[in-house]
Amino acid sequence: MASVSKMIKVEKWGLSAVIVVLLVTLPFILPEYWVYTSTDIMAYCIFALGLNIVLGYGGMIAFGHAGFYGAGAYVLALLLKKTNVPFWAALLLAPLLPTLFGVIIGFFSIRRRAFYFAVITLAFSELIWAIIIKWYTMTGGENGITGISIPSIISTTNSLYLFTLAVTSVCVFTIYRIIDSPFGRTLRAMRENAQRMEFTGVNLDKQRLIAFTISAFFASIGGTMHAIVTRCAFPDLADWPKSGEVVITCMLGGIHTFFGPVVGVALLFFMNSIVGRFTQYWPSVLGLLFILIVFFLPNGVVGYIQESKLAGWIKRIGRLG
Amino acid sequence: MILELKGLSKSFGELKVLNRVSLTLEPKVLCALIGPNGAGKSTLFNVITGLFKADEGRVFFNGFEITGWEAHAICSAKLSRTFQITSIFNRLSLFDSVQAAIISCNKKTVNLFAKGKKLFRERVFQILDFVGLADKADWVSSALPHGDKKRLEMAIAMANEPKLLLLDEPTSGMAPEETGEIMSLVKRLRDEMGLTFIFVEHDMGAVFGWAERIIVFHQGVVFADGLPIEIRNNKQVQEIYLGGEV
Repeated sequence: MASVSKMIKVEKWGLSAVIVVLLVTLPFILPEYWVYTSTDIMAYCIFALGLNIVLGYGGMIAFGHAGFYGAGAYVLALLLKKTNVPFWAALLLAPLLPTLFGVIIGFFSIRRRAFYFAVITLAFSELIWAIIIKWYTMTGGENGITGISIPSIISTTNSLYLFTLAVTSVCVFTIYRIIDSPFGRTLRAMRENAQRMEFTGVNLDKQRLIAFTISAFFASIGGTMHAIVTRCAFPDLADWPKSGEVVITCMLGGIHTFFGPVVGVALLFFMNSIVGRFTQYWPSVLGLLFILIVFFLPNGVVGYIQESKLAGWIKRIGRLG
Repeated sequence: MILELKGLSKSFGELKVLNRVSLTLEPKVLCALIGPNGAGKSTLFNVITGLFKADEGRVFFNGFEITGWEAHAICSAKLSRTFQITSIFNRLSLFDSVQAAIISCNKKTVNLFAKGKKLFRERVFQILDFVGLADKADWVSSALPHGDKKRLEMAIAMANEPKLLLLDEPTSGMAPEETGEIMSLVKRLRDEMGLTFIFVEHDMGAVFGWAERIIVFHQGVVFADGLPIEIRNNKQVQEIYLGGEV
């Protein structure tokens, strides 16, 4: 028993090491365009993994997370454009306000379930979007905020990639720990059967509110990183199609698996850049894709792989290496 | 007294489901709650455990008044329940299911950073062993046969370390030998851990075979209350409920 679990542990660490080395060397191998895209993919991964805390592990269909993503981008952009706050302080401060939004929006929305929860979160995020659009003197309205300056140490494509990789790694590790924590385990049990969990003495509302707030926090970090990567912030980031896109992305990868959303994001960007070459109707393709997933891969790509024989093969290949 | 109800009433519109129900329950008793369909048994459970609010009346548990408390607070006070339709965590493993209940019992539900994988491992296996499911700890709950699901639900309820456990039809849908297994499990919990039980049951074999006290509910009131032998010989009970055959 002990030796088997030790073997699995070594295997796990070995795999992690290979992935880390691969990710670190990637910018020195790939063309610049793909390094840049990978950087943005990582920012989006934080967003998607953040959402998946409530979506996949909490079973709560949050349809307004773009509000937090957009807010994270805008707060950073405004701090850098309108105040003298140094970049690194702005980076740390940016997620605070969106997280506060998370507490307030969560407070009202978690009292309702399923469809009603989705609609309330959607309505609140549209409120954030409306503020961004209407507060022209501050946000520049539809013109957005462009030309955010970042420190020279992270201004080359490769250094920005490595910096984003570091931030993403910390976020992914933290989310992983939260999911595996007593809190995360309680949340998963609530997803399966909230009433049963209530009758073991869990305060469901409190648990859901904490989950929602944490989720908003990570979604806003995703937005902040996106603003750093692209050096701009636009209202679209907070609008509802973005909320829908991230839900579909998580489902594409698989919401009941930890790395499902990551795979979903990679597929989304990859397909977007491929499909974008042939047609401007990318959203229609995305919609069609969503329908196909719901019908044929209800557990997403990663969920499907885990259920199929492929999982066994991949494990065996892993053993060989 | 572990449980004391004083004049508990509950109506749904015109229908008075509970009508000034008063009763007391001493600790460590296996008490059966029986009565025809619609007598108000499940409503009584729902009112006691905080799922519904009573229109009037008071509930005392273990010396505390718990009238109007939230369901989770009542459970934290160690009054727990199981459900008529087996209520488990379908996609979780047995280990994770019982562990979640233990996490809740130990008030660790908002602990964000402790490593969860091996948390309370010994306690989980102790409980699973008690209900005879330790060898299936890594099974997915939904894959269990019906009888084992009922045991798992019992394990989840047990993990909360209740003093009083309300069981809503613990043996529904079970084969006779499984019924005996579940009821002997209940008796062992009482004998070894000092739990008190009230169980709603339609299987008269289980009721008269295992209960030490029987409360008969009829039209929202306590119609009869006593030892099994007294209930068996009660002519009125036979008329309203047992069809005169017992």
